[in-house]
Amino acid sequence: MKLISMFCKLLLLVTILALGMTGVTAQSDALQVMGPWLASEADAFELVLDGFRESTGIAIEYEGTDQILPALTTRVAAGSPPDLAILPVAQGLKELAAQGALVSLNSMSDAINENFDAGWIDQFTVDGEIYAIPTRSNVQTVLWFNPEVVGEPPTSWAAFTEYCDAVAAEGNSCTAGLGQTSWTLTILFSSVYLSTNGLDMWNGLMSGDIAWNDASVAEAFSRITTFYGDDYAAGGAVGALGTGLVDGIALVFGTSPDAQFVNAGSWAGGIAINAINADLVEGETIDYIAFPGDEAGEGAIVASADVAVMFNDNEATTDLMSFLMSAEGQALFAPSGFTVANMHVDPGLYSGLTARTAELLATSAIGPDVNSPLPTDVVSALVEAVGAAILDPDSIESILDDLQAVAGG
Amino acid sequence: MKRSLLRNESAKAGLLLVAPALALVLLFQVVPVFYTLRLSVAEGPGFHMTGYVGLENYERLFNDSKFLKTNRFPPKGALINSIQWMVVAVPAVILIGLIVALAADRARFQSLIRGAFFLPMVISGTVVGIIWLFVFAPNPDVGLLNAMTGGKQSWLGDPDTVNGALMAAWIWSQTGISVVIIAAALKGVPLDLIDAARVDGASGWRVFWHVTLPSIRIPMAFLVTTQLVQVLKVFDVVFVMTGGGPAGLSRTLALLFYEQTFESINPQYGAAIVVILSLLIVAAFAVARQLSEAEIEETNA
Repeated sequence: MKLISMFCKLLLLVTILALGMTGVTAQSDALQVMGPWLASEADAFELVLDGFRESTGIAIEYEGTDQILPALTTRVAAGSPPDLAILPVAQGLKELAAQGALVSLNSMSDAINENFDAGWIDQFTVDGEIYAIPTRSNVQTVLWFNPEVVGEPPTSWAAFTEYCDAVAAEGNSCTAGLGQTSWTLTILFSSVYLSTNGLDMWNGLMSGDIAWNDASVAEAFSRITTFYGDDYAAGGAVGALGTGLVDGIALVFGTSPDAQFVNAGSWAGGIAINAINADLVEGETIDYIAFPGDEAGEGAIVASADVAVMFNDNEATTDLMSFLMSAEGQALFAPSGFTVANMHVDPGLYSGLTARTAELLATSAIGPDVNSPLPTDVVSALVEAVGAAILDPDSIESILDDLQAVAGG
Repeated sequence: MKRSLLRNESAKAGLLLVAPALALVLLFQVVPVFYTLRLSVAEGPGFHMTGYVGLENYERLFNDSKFLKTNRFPPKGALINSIQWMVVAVPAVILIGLIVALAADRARFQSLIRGAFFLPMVISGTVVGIIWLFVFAPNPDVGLLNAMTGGKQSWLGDPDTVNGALMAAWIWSQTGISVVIIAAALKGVPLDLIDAARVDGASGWRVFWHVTLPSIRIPMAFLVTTQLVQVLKVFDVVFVMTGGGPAGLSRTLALLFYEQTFESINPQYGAAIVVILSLLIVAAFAVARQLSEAEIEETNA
């Protein structure tokens, strides 16, 4: 009797487990959308999705995670990817496209060409197939400062080093590092390389026409080791590499500042005002300029975008994709203060520095962020190379040879 | 006849009873092991296995400077870092645990002391990392350690201190378990043995070295084994605090596996890393087992 009752209990347990499993895998009718945005950023995206829900009546379930690539990789492997996903700074786009996991958007190419600058579309084209459209986007190659402290900012590299040499001579720090948040080092590299060599060279480097051990890269690395070097950076080179994103921005915009400039994307203003110092006034105590460089670098920007990709080819998902790329859909990001890539979104929807970013995105020649053209392996090798050069500026040559070995092999 | 039938019946019932558990073990433990081995000798986009490449992934691993960089002295790379963790962090966790357990064994508020050391154990590794980021921040307005010393040392940006800083956070979070296990083991040391040694005129140190320590060697061996495995798997603290930086100098094997599998979407290569990691764990296991078995034989003799 005892045996039978035990067996029954076990059977019950297994049944419950099995039911639980089917519950998990059961698909609801709503479109499944995954993205990197959480909390207030997820709320802002829900506002955009609401626009689609209201006009079509199609239900959407959005799931945010800060580890989107691991989540997508496992779901693709399991054969149950979401219908649509947002890849932050287009990271993983190449790899997912190579797996055949993404739906080509070539059938929508007319609408894509109408909405976005060609510089964007090239970034998201793999072997002639367009796989993504940009949504929220940012200018990466800028330099932030406090006008009350700096006054008129130096706009060329020569003027910048002159300014910082004077600051250093007084025993103060000129720049704040963000290197503990390691991906910021790609922004630093983009800023310095583009401002030094211009957009054509940048595109050449990204497409592989220019090698990583080229003299232009060595020059950029040398400027990086000055910018994050012992003379300029708060805490010296190791301080620049040991300070994280928020702490570094706080060194310039906190209540007791310790540095005058910080290199980050146009998104950094939001962090400074919302997370560090609510008293900052745009244009008065917080401002940005294009990263100071040489003549060749003027008028161009490197921009990054969080991109939408499709995993399932069905009508509802295609409709959502069309909506997300339209000026109408992208304009819904504006009330939350997020700039977008669609060139028909009115910059007048924005105010303050965000309006300037929107203007820059709409009017500049755009170079790709490192994450779209380069394989993830090369991006991580670049991050390490920049870090290694900052620690040991004398070894730039061998560091770049190693980097080229990774990128070329 | 009847008896064997009965035995047969009960064997069947037994099999039936363990079947669900066996199925789960097979599904979640045995199958993944073989899947990983198979994946590590395969190629293909994503998790697909489109072809057999033999040991190519392993060859690539030993030529990967992220795994092992030997062109300069001292060698660097994730393998060296993980070995460094085994050699430094494991003894530190056990030694501090032993000292605290011994001290608490004689103190008045021993459960309070043990509780205080055990508390970090209930915090997840991610949170441990975030807490210690505040301790190590270079800005003295943020960083506790720099506020206390009045310096501006960049603990996590300096190649000389980054691994030590990470290990300090880890040791803080792991000492609790070692205190609890050693304290429990100390309670099991036969008092009459200690008394006998004292009567024979042994000093406190000699009693500890020749009586107490040998009596707790088996739980100690268990502790060494589990800590070695824990340390080889260390990921969360490193991922949160440095992401392997600066310039990849604090990367561990588990982090390298994560980067390759989920960020570079190269699961076949990641599987090869995990196989090497598992071999290291098995080797650590074997060494610790050897130690404890030698001890049992010694005790029996």
